[in-house]
Amino acid sequence: MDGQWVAVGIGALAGAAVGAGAVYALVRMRLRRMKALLEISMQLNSTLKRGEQMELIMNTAKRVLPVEAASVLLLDPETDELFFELAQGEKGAQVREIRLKPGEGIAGHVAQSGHSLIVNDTGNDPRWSNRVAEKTGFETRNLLTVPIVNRNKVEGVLQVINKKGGKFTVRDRMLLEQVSRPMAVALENARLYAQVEESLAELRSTTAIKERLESELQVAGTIQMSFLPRTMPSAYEPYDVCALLKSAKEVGGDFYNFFKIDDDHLFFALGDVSDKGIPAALFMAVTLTLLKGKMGPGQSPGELLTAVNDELARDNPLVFATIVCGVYTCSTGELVMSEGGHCTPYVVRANGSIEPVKLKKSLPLAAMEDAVYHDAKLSLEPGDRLLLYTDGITEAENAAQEQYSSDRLREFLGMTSGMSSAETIDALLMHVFMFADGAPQSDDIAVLTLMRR
Amino acid sequence: MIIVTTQREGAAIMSIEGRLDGQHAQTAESSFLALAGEGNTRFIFDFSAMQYISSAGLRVVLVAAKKVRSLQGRLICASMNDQVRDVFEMSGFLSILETADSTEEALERLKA
Repeated sequence: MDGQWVAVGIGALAGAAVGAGAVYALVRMRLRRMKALLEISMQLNSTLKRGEQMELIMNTAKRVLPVEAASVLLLDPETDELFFELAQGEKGAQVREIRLKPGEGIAGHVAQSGHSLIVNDTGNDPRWSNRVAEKTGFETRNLLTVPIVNRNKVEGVLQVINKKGGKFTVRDRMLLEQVSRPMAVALENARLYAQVEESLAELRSTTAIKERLESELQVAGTIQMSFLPRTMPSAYEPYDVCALLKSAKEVGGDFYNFFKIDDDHLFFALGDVSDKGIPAALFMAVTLTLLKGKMGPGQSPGELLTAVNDELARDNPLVFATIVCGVYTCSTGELVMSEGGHCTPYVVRANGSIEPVKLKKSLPLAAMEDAVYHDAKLSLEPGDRLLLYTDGITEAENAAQEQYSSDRLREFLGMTSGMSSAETIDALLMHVFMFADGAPQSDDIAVLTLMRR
Repeated sequence: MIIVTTQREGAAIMSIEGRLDGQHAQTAESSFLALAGEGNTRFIFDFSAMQYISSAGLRVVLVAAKKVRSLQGRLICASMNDQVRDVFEMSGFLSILETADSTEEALERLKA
């Protein structure tokens, strides 16, 4: 386009004085039109909202050319039909209902061929379709239709109707084609913007769901913790017991429990469900309830575990729970313990020696029906300590994927003489975390320790 | 983790190579159940190339043991390394499983 105007400009300068004036006026008018086009382009891209753009497009077309009406039809990519996105005027609503079939009417023709059309005599043109005129009662004398093209694809057509004072010319067509170019880009931008808005809305809704789930998990975690005894018996008791649970996620599968069965007997248990997260937490809740419910005076830990296992294994669940539990006779320091698939507990004697507690191995709870659980007896002298833990301690890993291991646990226990139960547990956790040195906790941790004063 | 299954002398042998942990447990379980579905009742788990087993892996073995029981068949776990043997021992599973030092020994025992 620039080339033309430059040529005209040169021609004007080189021309004779008489012709110069007329040519000058022509060039000035063209310059004004160029400015108007630039302004239009900026305006069209000033909004991303489709509705506003449509108005802009139509008003622009009417400014650029002296016409009575303008309309924009967009192409439906799925059906190839043209529809009126926006139609101004009183009959706008009726016009919007119309859908032109592919190739129907001048608009359809232009959309299919991708070439502009000037029709100065609608009455005699075989391509002319009466449908819109009939709907609106608007008499169309002549019309100029240009395609709106974006990246070689026809997006729609722009039509201007009834040129005031004359017929549509080739120059009119070229001008309108210029105007339609920024329109195609603006339309695409609007479409992309609509997609972004949709994605944002989806993201907002997903985030809201996620936040709700997270808060429910936190509540579940709090409920789970409420199953566990929180108050440690007072210093008046002849024993000092303390326990800690640290789940890897909000809810976990490790558990502990302790309560007095009668004046002279304390029951304690610690275990690990073979999973993490919500499924483990649910199974943990059931197991704890059964242990609490079925334990009573005079019952041995082995009998308890056999009974609990019967209940759990009957339904053939997909999970199982390792367990170690026992009954402590406060007056004598005697312990009766039983276990199912759990890691070896330790006794730290008052003189500092560390002994693994040898219990007859049985299966984890719920692993198999009719599994049998055995009792073993041992004794605590004053100053002796019993420690139960889950493999979240011994299998805690550092960045080099080394495990804390039972060796380090024994090493630690050798340093605990004189500590209270609470201090022992705190120090153990500290020792493990220092070993892990920043590596994330991958498994639930539970620890329980009992000392005879 | 890689699983290789072979048939020898009337037994289905499942060789597990690598780590049998939560990530791979499902695959191992499906492989075993497929073997059982084909009509096998004698199984050997070849652990010679298995470096590590987690509680999720133990669950697979448990499922297999239960299935074998219901089929009235036999299952022998062969060639466990020390770490694996420790895990089986700690979890009490050693009491419900037959073990052998090698696949050959397992085959011999299955014939008896």
